[in-house]
Amino acid sequence: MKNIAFFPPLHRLAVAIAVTFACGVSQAQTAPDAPVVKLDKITVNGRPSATVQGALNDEVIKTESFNAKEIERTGATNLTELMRARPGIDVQVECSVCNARNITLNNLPGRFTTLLLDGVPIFSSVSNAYGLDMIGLNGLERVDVSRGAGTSLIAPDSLAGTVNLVAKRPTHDGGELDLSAGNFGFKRGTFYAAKTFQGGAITVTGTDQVHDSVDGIGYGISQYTGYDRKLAGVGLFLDDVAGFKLKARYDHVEEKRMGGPLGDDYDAVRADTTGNPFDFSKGPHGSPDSDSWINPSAGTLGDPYGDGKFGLAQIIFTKRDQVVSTAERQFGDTRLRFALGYAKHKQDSWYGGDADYFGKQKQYYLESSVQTKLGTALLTAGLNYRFEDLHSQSISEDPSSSTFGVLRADADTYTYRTPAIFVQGYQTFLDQKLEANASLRYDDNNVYGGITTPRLNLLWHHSDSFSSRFAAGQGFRLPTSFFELEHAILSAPAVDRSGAKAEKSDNLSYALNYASDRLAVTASINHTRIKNLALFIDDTASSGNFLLLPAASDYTIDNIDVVGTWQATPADAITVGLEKYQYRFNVTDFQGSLFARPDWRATLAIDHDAGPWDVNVRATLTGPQNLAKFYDYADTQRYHLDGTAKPDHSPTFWVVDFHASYQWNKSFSTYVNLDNVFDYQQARKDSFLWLDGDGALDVTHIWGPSIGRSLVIGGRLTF
Amino acid sequence: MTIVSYLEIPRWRWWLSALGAAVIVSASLEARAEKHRAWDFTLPTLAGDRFVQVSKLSGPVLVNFWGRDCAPCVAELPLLQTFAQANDGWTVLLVCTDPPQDARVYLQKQGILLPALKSGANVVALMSAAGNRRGGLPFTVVLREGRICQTHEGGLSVADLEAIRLAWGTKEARR
Repeated sequence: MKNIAFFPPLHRLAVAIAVTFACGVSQAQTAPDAPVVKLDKITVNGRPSATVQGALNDEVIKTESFNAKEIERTGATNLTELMRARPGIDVQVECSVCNARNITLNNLPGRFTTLLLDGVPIFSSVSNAYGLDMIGLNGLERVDVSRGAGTSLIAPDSLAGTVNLVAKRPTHDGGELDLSAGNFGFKRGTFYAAKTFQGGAITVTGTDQVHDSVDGIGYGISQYTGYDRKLAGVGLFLDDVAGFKLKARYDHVEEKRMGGPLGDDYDAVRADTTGNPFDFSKGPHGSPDSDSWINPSAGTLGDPYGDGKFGLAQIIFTKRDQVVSTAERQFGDTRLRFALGYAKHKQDSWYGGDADYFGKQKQYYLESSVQTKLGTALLTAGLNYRFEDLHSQSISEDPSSSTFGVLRADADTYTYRTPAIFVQGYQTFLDQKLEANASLRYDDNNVYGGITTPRLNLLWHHSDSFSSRFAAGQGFRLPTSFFELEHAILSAPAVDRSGAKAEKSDNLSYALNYASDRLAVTASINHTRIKNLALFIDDTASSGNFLLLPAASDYTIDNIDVVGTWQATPADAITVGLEKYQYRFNVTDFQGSLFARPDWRATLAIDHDAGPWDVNVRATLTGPQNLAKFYDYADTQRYHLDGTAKPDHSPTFWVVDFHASYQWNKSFSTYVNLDNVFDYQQARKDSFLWLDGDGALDVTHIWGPSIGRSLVIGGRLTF
Repeated sequence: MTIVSYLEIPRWRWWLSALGAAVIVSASLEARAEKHRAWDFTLPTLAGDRFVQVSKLSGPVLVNFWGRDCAPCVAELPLLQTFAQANDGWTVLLVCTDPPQDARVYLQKQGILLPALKSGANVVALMSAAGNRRGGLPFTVVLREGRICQTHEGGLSVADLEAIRLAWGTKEARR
């Protein structure tokens, strides 16, 4: 007899999750309430949280954690600013004009970092490119970082790790209003309000923030993208919905950003398509002529630039709505958990001489899991279903393209449906001196088929002060075809994905942690190997398409880092961090698609916290970056606008940030944030613009700060 | 004639009884050792003006670990303050697990004047060393001269505090 399916096969798991949820609710309504005494957990800031007792007893095993005060202390206005220049964690800018930013963990490419909201993965491709700048930090309890593919049970696509934003459940009525302003036209207003009631709480958050585009050297082309960003969100916390503890949040985001020409008159820029408004003679190794540049192969000036402001403009309008909800109920030793996420991300964009692009991305996430004690072990088993699709319309603005001016639908479309099943076991041994966490998950993708990924974490508490952690794990990622990696794909009829493979990673890491009352030190060593790293291959000359193909060889990063914090005086803590990286890859197999990362980095931070003062000074010394290797000079030498070759290595440079706040009374504080105190800018040493051998201009020569000294002054009212 | 044969107790029972007694005595000694084991820390004050080493404090000391978002923690803060005001010989110390600025503002708003400390770099292990292996809040440790007299996980009532005072605040208790 044939099976009769009322639902399409790939939706069955989603239905199963929904049915499980319904059963759970039904059971919850009839189950007797067991008296459960649970003490509140402590969030420990920084690295020691990764090695406290019970640290492996979670679905996402964090290696670093940043609480609300640490977030406030950094002066960060969004997630990417918070994650900047921390040991093992950084932000990679991938376009000097549009400032697409990603969070890199262990210096792996940013797209391998998965963002979670309350444990729900709801960002990908289009939303990863600009969306991370739009994640506000209001109303958060903490941000947990998990470095390594072996750290997350529920986000297998995090080849480098995950960043999880945990919303704060208010315990009392209150709120906060924060107003600030600074140079470069920066203005920001945020508010957060919380109202508690019997058995729950509701929160409202909002942010309005603007920043001018910035050109550090006077050639009229921005290195820092101007933006107008608005965020609004509502959070709901209910302690007892049929016995479930419910947490839900809705966020709406609108952003307009423009890079290239300065200003924010988007319509005027789009209409300006002739002549040269820029001065290419400015900056280091500028062209001898303001209207054109040297063609390196000929050694003479090329034709004058004549595409107007729009020719180098990148204008991106974004609207995003997202809902994330989790529900948990405890039945004695058994915990039932459900999670759902939904995101709709819309991007209207105009990429100067490349393409106009209008994309819509949808993502759904459903999860149900049960955690229970089996003897002395803690077992977690669950199902999840991830859906993601992208549809687009695009018009090539490249006159040399065969599709120039043609409206095309879905040039870079894809749809992924991925049901999965996972199981995790947690056990302690030797009177809890040894914690072990082992898990296995199986994902069944509609394009790439079944993928199995295991992981193992061990935590050994040598004493109250010393602990060791070992992690081994695999991850996979389904390559997306979002054009941001390569604008030119929109000048081809489509992306041929037939040769693509799932990207996979193997990760090994070991960390030794020491912590006492006044000193905490963590040293870690990590090995990550990426297989099948996805590349866009321009095959328009033969097949007429772009090809999405796996790299022919592996990309491997080994790194070691040490971070120590010492409470030197009752008011002053000193933090020192050192990290060293070794990148191993066959240059020609990656065709310059990797962004340059430093060989090493050192951090020195001083925190002064006494009475009403809270002062933080952080200095980051970034070592050289092998530009010739990462940008594949062997196949495509990069040149300055004066026709001379770009340097093989970037210089070592310091960036110093200073933040101070003063608490005037129990309700009001003021603060000043001075970032990049000594005004170090890449553009003053080496332009973000570069030429290939034929004199074609590009905007992705990136290794250093894109904005100079930034001053922000603000006041914060809490009530 | 042995005592065992004299009492007419089978040898195996005698050995079993002896073993049982040894276990009980040993457990009792262990519990006593657990109860009175050394425990010390040096943490900066919340104001950032000095370090406090708890073993150097004279008289009975009550150390309370707390956090703003822990309901039983904030509920017992006024009780602890009343306790401290009513018992001159006692030192009541708060160890704040929140960021210092947040803790300062919260205590100020609630009118809590007890001496308060920052949590340091290893607060969970610090509590674990005192017997709170889950790292839960609130957690209270009573000690004298650097030795633990009593610990309490969860919220404290007025009756609990009175029992603590009677048990450890008198001269007899010192012995």
